[in-house]
Amino acid sequence: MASSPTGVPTSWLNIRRFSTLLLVGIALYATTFPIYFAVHAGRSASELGRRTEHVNDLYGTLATRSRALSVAVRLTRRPIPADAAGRSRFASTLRSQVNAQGTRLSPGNFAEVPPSMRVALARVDDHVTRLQIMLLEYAALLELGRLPEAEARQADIDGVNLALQDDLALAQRLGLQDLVKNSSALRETGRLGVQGVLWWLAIGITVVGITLWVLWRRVNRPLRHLEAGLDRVARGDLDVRLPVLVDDELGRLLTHFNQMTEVLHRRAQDQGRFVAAGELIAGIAHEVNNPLMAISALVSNRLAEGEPVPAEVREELTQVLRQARRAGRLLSGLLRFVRPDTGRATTVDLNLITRESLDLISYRFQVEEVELDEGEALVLPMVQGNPGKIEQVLVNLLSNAADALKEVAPPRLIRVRCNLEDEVVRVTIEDNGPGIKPQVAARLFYPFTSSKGDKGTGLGLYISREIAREAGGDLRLGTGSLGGACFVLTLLVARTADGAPQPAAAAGPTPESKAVPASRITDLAILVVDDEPAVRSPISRFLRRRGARVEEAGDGLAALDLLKSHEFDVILADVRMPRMDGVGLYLTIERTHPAMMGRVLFLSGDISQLQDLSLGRIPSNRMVIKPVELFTLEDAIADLLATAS
Amino acid sequence: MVALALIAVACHEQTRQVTIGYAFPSFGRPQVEVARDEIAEQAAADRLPISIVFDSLGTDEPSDIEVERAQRMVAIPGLVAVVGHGGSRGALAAAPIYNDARVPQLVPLGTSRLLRTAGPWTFKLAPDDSVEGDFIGAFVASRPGIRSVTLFFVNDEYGAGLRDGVTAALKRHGITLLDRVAVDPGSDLATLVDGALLRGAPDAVICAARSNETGAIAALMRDRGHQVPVVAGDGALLLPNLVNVAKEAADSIYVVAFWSADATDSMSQAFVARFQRLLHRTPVSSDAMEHDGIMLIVHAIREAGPSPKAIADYLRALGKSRPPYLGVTGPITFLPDRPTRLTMLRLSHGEAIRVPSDDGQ
Repeated sequence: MASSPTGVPTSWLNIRRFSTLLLVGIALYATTFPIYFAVHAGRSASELGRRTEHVNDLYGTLATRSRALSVAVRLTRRPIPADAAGRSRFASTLRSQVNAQGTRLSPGNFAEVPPSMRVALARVDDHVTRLQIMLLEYAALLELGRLPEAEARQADIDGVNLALQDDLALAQRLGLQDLVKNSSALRETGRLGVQGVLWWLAIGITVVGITLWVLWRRVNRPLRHLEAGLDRVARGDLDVRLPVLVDDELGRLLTHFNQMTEVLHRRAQDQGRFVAAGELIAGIAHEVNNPLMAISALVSNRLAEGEPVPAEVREELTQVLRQARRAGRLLSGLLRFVRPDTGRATTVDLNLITRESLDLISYRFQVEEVELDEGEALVLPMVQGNPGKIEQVLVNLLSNAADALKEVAPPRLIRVRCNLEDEVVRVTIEDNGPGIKPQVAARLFYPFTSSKGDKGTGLGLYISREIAREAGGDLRLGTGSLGGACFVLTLLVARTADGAPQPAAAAGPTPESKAVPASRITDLAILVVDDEPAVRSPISRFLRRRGARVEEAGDGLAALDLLKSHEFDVILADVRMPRMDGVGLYLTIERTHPAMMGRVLFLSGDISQLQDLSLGRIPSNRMVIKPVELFTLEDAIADLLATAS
Repeated sequence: MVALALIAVACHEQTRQVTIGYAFPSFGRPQVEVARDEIAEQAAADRLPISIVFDSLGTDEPSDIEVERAQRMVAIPGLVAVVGHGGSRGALAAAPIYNDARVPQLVPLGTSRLLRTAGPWTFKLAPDDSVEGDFIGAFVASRPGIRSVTLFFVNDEYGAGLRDGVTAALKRHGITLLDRVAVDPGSDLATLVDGALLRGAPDAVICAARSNETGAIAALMRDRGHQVPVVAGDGALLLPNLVNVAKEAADSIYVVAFWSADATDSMSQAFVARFQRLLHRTPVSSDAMEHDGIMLIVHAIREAGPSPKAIADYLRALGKSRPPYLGVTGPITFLPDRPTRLTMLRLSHGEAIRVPSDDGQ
């Protein structure tokens, strides 16, 4: 028994061959029965019948000739006519009688006769022939008038005739003995036939038992293992590994099962690490966003307040503000990418998602000397799909391209192009890497197919294409001009209720804009609730500068105390705070100041909380993510009031 | 019980032997020596070690003995074909054994037409008895002064077959058949001859019998004062036995032969020379027929291969997909319309001499 590449013994007798052999065996078993009877019993019986019939015919012929000659012999015992004419007539009659009996039998006939009878029948034949000749001699003697010799010859004729009758009787007796013997042989054949049938049945039962055992071992047992394994997988046990005893069809099926559960197991572990990383990132983001918010707010206030700042310092402060905002965007992107996706969104701002995907992976591009060619910016309409999933596809394609480019020397180039054609937006991502090998290309989008060897799970492109197809689009391999791989993601344009293309959201205000808009919060009473003074204070200062009357509280309980003595138009509350967080504050206000319910705006540096909150009683449009532009915050406050009123 | 001799004559001492069975009465054994000599002469071109197994019981074996001999033959390992047995009766008796065993049986001397239907593995070399009977009838009719004949026949397949052929031919030629008398080796031939003469004195006697009966009948006819030609079938041509029995009447005997030693073709002359060199006598028709039988099988082995089926296929193909085999007795096929080379010989001073077709005596 040889071994397969996996080390499992390879059996020549795989299930298909076994099934074929089983069918052939059944056919042989079924047909051998009648063949056995035909050969063993039928042929013997037929041969016996044929030989018996032959002996009977031969004996019958000889007996007939003998009886006819006996009549002639009896004629010779009559008185011989005295006259020549009478003797001549008598001789003529005798000759006619004798010549009518023909020649002796062909020796070929005796070859079919059993040896025990052969001599007796041959002697009968010889006697018959001899008797014929003697009768002819007797007739000749009569005609010749040699009467004494004729009388002497008559005695000889009687002797030969007597011997003939004796031999005929002997042949008859031997024939009967042969018949009895043949009957015994036939009975013995029948007995052996029955014995053969019993043996045959015994062999059949044994073979059936062995076959069932082999079937149980080769088919039933692996199937039971597979069924149990599937049950365990269905219960979430991805550690299950099934024993593969033989490399036949079921063995290969079990091997594939083991490979799939192993991949699923690795994926689950990766997924777990991914979720844990997301939570870590969320925590870090909260911790980082607050300082970023503080930095951004402090610098914004410093630049916006009228005190003269030297140009060099202004430039440095502007740079600090820009970097803080950039760090904030990056964190937002990371949080969005790692957060669990509900899949409920049905439209995607491809302009934004593409930009954010590129931002996510831009650091890697810099480190690995990858030049990104984004081409001319194009404002695309909204497309159908889930933003998180589409972003996952884009990041996957960009990451694959970056992986491929590791194999080539700089210049390394990735080209991203977005095109709008009627109902479809086409995103093309190509590189100048080694490209996809033809033997891999044919199965590229199949599960567990990877061009990265052991480094890839072989599921990325498969899942990406499934995401694209779920959204009504597709992902396919295209033909690029850079010489490397080229992937084309197509997505359907989202439509409004009246069938028109749904436009993308307008871009927000430019953070570095130097033009100061008119205040929208003049004379508003605003309560800023945040546990971090570094955040709370610059926000309050900005709001005051914009004409609002601002009170500050360090947590929910402090805010509630203030609410007892003050009335506010808007409450701006951080979500995560000690003693009483923003949610607790909101739920308390619901009971104590229900009129304020529509005037609470939340601030959070942890975007991962957004989903949880939006599922709760807090409307999703009340959340402002830190770090936030102070003017954007002002707009959010003004919009909230407009909505509430 | 007749002595049994089983002699294996090997042409080459090789482990892979091809065996031909030779089943004839003991007086046929010298044929093996001649065949062996010819095979040895061709050995340089022959890669097959061919041996001949000889099985003889003596003369005039009963049919059941022939069957037993055939059974011994087919049990010999490596047997590919058999040449024999003896005359029509022996060959017919043995034919079922060879047909059951699927071993080709080549019958050189049997003339019974029954041999043609004995089985697909039985091949008859000699012409049918009806052809021989017709030849005898035509010969008798061509002799001047012959208007009536008496026919003696042995009461077996050979004699009966020849009797029927002769009877038909005589009837066609308008020759009167005075009597047809059955004889046997133990018959009182004198009485039978005298009885037959009562039905008239024939111008010629025809004997479808062996040499003993033919010689005795010729002698009896001469004793009874009837010096008429005695025309016999091929079964009587056993020299010098026929001459010894017939005595002074021998010169009145004409015998049908399938070949004559005075044939002028090169094959016949070479065969006569070889035969005389080895056996110190002149071969007769049966010698040539048996020799052709053995050498035809040897040729078939060389051409078609040493298997019974290949040999049988080869023999059946002669005259069809293969050319006829050129033997001493002429071109050989086993087709029904095969041309025959029957010759009439006359005994003269103990020798069988060819009778020219236009010779009146």
